[in-house]
Amino acid sequence: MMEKLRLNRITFWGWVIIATFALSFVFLIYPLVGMLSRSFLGGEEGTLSLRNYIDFFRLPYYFTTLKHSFSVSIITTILAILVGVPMGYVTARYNIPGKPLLNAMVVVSLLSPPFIGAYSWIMLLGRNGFITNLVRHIGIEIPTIYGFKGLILVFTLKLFPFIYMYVQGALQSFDSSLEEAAENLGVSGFKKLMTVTFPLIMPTITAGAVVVFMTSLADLGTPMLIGEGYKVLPVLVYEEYMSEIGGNATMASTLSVIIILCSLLVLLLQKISISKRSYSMSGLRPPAVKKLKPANRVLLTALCYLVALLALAPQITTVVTSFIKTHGPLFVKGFSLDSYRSVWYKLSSNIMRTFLYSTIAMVFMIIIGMFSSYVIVRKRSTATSILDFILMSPYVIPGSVLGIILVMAFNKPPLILTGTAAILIISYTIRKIPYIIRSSTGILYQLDLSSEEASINLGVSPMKTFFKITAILMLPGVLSGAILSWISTINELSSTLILYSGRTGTISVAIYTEIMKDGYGTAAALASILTFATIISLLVFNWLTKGKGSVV
Amino acid sequence: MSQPLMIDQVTKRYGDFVAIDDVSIAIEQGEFFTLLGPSGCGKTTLLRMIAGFNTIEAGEIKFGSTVINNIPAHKRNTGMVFQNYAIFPHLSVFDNVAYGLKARGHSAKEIEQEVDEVLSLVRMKEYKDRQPSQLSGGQQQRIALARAIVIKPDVLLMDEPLSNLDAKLRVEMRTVIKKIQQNLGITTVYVTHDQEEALAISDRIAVMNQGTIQQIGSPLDIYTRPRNSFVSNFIGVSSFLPCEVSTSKGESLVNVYGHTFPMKLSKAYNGKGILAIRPEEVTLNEASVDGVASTIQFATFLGDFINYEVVLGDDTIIQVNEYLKEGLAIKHPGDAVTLTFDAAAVNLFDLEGKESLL
Repeated sequence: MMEKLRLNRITFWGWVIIATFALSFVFLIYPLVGMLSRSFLGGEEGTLSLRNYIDFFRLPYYFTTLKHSFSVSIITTILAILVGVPMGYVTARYNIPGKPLLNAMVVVSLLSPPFIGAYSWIMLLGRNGFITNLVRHIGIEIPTIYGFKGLILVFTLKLFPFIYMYVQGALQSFDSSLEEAAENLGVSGFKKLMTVTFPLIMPTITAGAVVVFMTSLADLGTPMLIGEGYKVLPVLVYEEYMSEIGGNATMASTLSVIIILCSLLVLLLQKISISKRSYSMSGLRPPAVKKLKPANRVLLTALCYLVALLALAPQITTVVTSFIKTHGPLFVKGFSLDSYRSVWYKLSSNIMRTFLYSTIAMVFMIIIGMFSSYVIVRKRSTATSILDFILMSPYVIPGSVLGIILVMAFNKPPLILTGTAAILIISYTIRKIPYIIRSSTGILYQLDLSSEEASINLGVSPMKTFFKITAILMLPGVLSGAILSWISTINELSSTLILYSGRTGTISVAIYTEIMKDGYGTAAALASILTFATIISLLVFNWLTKGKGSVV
Repeated sequence: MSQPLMIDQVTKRYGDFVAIDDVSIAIEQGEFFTLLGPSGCGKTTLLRMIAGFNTIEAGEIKFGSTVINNIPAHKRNTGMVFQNYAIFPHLSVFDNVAYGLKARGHSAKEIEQEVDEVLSLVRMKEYKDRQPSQLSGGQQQRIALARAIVIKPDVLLMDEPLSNLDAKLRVEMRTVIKKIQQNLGITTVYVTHDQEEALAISDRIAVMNQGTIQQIGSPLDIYTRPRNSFVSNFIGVSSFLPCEVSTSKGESLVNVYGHTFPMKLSKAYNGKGILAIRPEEVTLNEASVDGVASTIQFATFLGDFINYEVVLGDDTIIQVNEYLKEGLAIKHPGDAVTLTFDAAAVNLFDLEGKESLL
């Protein structure tokens, strides 16, 4: 009797907390713990040992990939800052014409998958690229873009938009009276920038830098296509996994642990570096946009658009090439819809699946985002803080690693999910949960608690209040966050590449396999479809947020 | 029907911090009762305990004869007006006001009629179909009030409802609130940190500090006969002067800066005390008249009166108001004057300021 009473007393929110814990235990903790324990099974005949870890640091075959990964990510981050900060500053502070267009170009390039960038730059500058062939006629040899240089090129152009958008946003909401105070005290120009403006947006810049670093560290598709001999850690993880298939994947697990630790380390460093330097800005008087002298204006405008065009070059290339006539794997003169026709006959089910899986994942994200963020913000306790931590943890797990740990966890009883659509949807949901939780909790923190209290005070129970008031007020924000997640889900390759089967291939997998068998035309057509879907989704996002939403 | 409200030895703790310390208040049916105090004194905490948003650690709160300690917030039938109004942004004015009636299962026809009535009462009937974003602060305030009273609550609770309005609107709205409250005869608990607002609007006031009640009384009582120096200092302006008190044969004399005058005390007292003087309880005299010798330091002309800062021999400053009348000349900084006090009006406390000697 007592027991029954106690059970009855668990509130609706108690059940939400229990259900979220249960789900994250099955689909996140259990697989993660499995990976961690497998990483120590490198001994002879699968005994417990540190051998894998020792091998990693001892054998150059493994260890160089870590050095490569860090070199690529560090150089990419530096270059992205060097491009993104000045461009963000110039567009925020000066009268650069067509800023919405410029931002739209940057956003579209930002939201497209990086491996399409890699593939497009190969089409342009690769061994048989358009530009390579063009300038070869006039006797110029373009240096190879495979390996380190190509990775840097693709990642920088793909990722500087994060820094650009962050810096532009921070400068536009900057409280201009601070700069005026500096001028009033006799400090102006470059010195003012260095002593007031940049120190104050430094937390923003480092936040952007961490995103750039982690994304370039985690990406699998780009180095697979353009890295060639220059092997980075995610590629090694993938290869080890493929060579260990059917086995225990112990080395792949060890490598996964190492790559997660690297991400964690970077995140921690950033947190420590800004912990005492986070400023809230009232932004009462946003800074005025200054007018440039005509000559400077033309020069800076040209530079900004040049960078944006370079960033968008992959999308332009794929759209153009998707309409070029093909003969087998070769492009021939003239335009046609051949590539789209062949996509329609061979791969329309991939397109259907992509949108279906992404939509289902989005529904899960919305549900989890609404309910979990509510308990995290409004029912604060030790349990919900732990829940918050667990739900944020996928942030440091690269897609390919998540793919591997899900396969290893669910390729055997009690729960066999490998090869199913379910495992893809689970993976998409897990990957995007941190983002959806962050945006949903952000919305909730802004929602005044007194709206809920007013409803309760007027006689509506707390649970009904959630559905009648809180959920409705949260929905637009959660939905716009979910659309951004949807965009990155339709473009997802890293985990899909590991988790897909013949029956569950998506668009990005089809693009990848088409590129691998030189079906450049169909790949371009598929990539164009993705770009088109991305643009449509962005328009919906803009409409939902009334043009005020930020995509980063 | 609105109810009397009994707060009986109520305590609220947050860990080791005692936010409300053994507070007892009896509020009559239909009374306008104000909890007044500086920020952090516990007044909002106590109000939220009545509403059911804070738990009650010890003691009881009763509406009429019903103990409400364990009744959840949504079943307490209180009407609350929030500091930021908490108008539901996604509902029209009508739906906002109808919200509590719908929760109570009233029929559509009843709701229509009751909402119309209450909107006329707050003079917002023509705004019925507006969205909250189209309303000004004062209008939102009226809707918040209408939404809280339309459910005919046992107790009306108001949490600093006027603090987000500009000065002129604040005065206008407090009259609106008071009139409606009197009309409906609804038991009201009102929280504010603005002593002038509290004096203007309340039937009775409880002055709170650090989780305890300092004094409960009518606005006149609290202003003229504060029970301790905290209340004296918090309500209105008071200057405090150290003094020496002696009682012999039932006659008490107060000696302040060498100037002696008689006062009526409640009991004999010998020793040091604190004299609390409001600016209007002092007379400025020619330097030749017997009194506390002092010098004008600063004069501020305020229309119907002049406020002086007057400095005494030991650099203590006190505030003096002189009301305009025929032949009054404004004094200037540096002018020597003497001060005499209205012995019937000034207040006297023991040395710690904890207890009134009157």
